[in-house]
Parts: sequence; C-alpha cells; structure tokens
Amino acid sequence: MNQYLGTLFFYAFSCSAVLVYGIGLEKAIFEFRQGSRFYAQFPGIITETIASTAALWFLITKLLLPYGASYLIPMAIVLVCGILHSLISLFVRAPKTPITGERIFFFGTVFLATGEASSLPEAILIAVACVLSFYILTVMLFAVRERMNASRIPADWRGTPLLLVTMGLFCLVLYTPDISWWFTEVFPR
Amino acid sequence: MKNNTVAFLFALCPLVPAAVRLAYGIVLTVAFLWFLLTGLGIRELVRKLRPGDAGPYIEMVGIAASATLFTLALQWLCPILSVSLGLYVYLTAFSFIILVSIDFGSLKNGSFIPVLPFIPMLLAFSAIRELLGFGTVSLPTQTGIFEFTVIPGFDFWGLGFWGTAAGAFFLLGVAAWLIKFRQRKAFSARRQA
Repeated sequence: MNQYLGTLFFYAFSCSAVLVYGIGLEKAIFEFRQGSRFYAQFPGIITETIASTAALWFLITKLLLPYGASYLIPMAIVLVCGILHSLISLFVRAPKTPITGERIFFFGTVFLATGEASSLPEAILIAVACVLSFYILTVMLFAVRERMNASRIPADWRGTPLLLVTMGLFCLVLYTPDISWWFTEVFPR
Repeated sequence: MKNNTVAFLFALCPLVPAAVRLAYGIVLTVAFLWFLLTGLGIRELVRKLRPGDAGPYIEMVGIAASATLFTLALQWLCPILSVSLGLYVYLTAFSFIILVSIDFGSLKNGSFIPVLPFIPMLLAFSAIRELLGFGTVSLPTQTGIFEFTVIPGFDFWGLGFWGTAAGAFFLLGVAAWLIKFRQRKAFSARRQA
C-alpha cells in the first residue's frame, strides 16, 4: 500500500509529470486563463487515461513485447488512445474540434505510464498521478493569476514572464519533500 | 500567427527538461527537422486519402512512426545519447505537433514559418542553459558527449541550478520579460516617430 502511495505522490508532486517531464505543461499554461473550464474535462480525461493505460498494458505485455515488436508501441499508443477518445467522447460532452494540447497531454500521460511502470496497478497509478499533477498545477496557476490581477506589477512582468518564474518556484517547492531533512525525519522510509 | 512568443513557448514546454545541454539540443534539432520532413509527407498523404475525422489521428500515428525510426537511428549512431534522451525524442514529436497545429495555416500554404525560427531558439536555449549550468559547451558524439570548457573553475563558483528545470523556468521568464520589454520600447519609438 505504502509503495503505491509513494508512486502516486512521486509522480504527482516531487517528480511532477508536468514540471519534470513537461507533459501537459503547455496545456496548463493555456488552461490557467480566465474563462477556462478545465475542471469540467476531468471526468473525461481520467476515464480515457485509465481505460487507455489498462488496454495498452495488456496489448504491450501480452502481444508486442513477447513478439519482439516493441518498436510498434508508440503507434499502438496513438491508435488505442485515439479509438478510446472517440468512444468516450460519445458519452462525455467534448468540444467539436479536440484541442491539440489535450490530445498531446493524454498521449504523453499514457506513454509515460506504460513506459515506466512494472505492473498494471502501477501503470494506472502513474497515469492518475500525471492527471493529478496537471490539475494541481493548473489550480495553483489559477490562484497565481488571481493574485497577479489584484497586484500592481510592472507591465513588462505581467502575464507570461511572471508565470514562468512562478513555475520555477513551484518546481523548487515540489522537490522540497525529497530533500528536506524535516520530511525524512518525520516520515522515515 | 497571432503571437510568435506564445507559440514558441508552448512548443518549448515539453522540451524544458531535455534541452539541458547543447549536445541534446542538437539531437533534438535534428529530430525536429526529421519530423518536419516526414510530417510534410504524411500530411500530403493524409490529404490525398481524405479520411475525414480520423485524419489527425492518422497523422499522429505517422509522426509516432517517424519518431520510432529516429530513435532506432539514434540508437545506432549515438547509443549513449539515445539512452539519455529516450523518452524525449517522442516528446519532441509532441512539441512539433503543438508548433504545427498552432500555426496550421502557414504550413498548409507551404511556408515553414513556425518551425524554422524555432530551431535557433531551441539551440540557443540549450546552449545558454549549459553555459550557465555547467560552464561548458558540448557536442554529440558516438560515445556520448564531447565537452569544451568555456568558463574555467566553474566547479568552484558556478551555479548548477541553471541547469535544472526550475532554473530553466527562471531563464525563460527573464527571456519573456526581455522580449516584452523590447517590443514595448519599439512600439513607443514608432509612436514617437
């Protein structure tokens, strides 16, 4: 149980898929703007991600790897994700034209989960942690935007420049549990 | 394209963790050019096939195949770099898709406007990060990377922080500020003239 929790926290925070791997970073920058309804996409994204990871796990471990066709994995990921995305879109309300960043985030998450996991539960946990890391970062960026709007900031720093510097600070903050003596003392491994 | 800076920033996002050395930047640049070349062919093929809504997915499968071919070539040419960059070759493909999709119109007209100016930016970004983070400039070789020391004594007083993802975000933030500052100055100069 602890091992699974560790995996979840590792990919959601200290090794955030968004900040460390860059998967979904452009989507987070895009979605933090006013009027974005990124939270409404959550059920669709999480369902697609879990279903695709599970389907691909069996395809990769039972078919592609035993027959030495590992080079087909990237194509299989895009195909399976595309088919599941179309199927799930029938049930979950989705925009008419899918946004590129959304698809890329989805593919990247599944790619990372199937590439780094050693078992199916771990793959699903990594995929869920990736989605969580995206939502955590986007919510934090939302808060930053609110703060920026209410503050007197030099015009040249407003918007993207300050956002990037803030993301640098988030990177440092999310690493903290891994290196802080306080955490290692309070939560010994 | 409405805003070059934003489009480039979006495309650079997936590459922030990988573009830490010039050697990596060069490999990713070659990957980018390869995707541009194959991407144009794939797009032409998809246009002729007219698959309707499935078109973007077929195109992405094609780019994934192209990324796999590039990875196999990299494993043969630079086996050590292919281990270090493994996942990031595929992330470069994502970055390419983002860049092309943002400015789909210009590529459709046969112009390579968004992709070609992005390449010097990627190279400059990785070179500056390496210089500030390690004090060196590196080139890819078959046995890994070959480093030239540019700032001697970097081990004693250099700040490796600039080589990390957090440092990269700070550098990008400063670069974005400089661009905005220059644009504002140029705009006010034009207004006064």
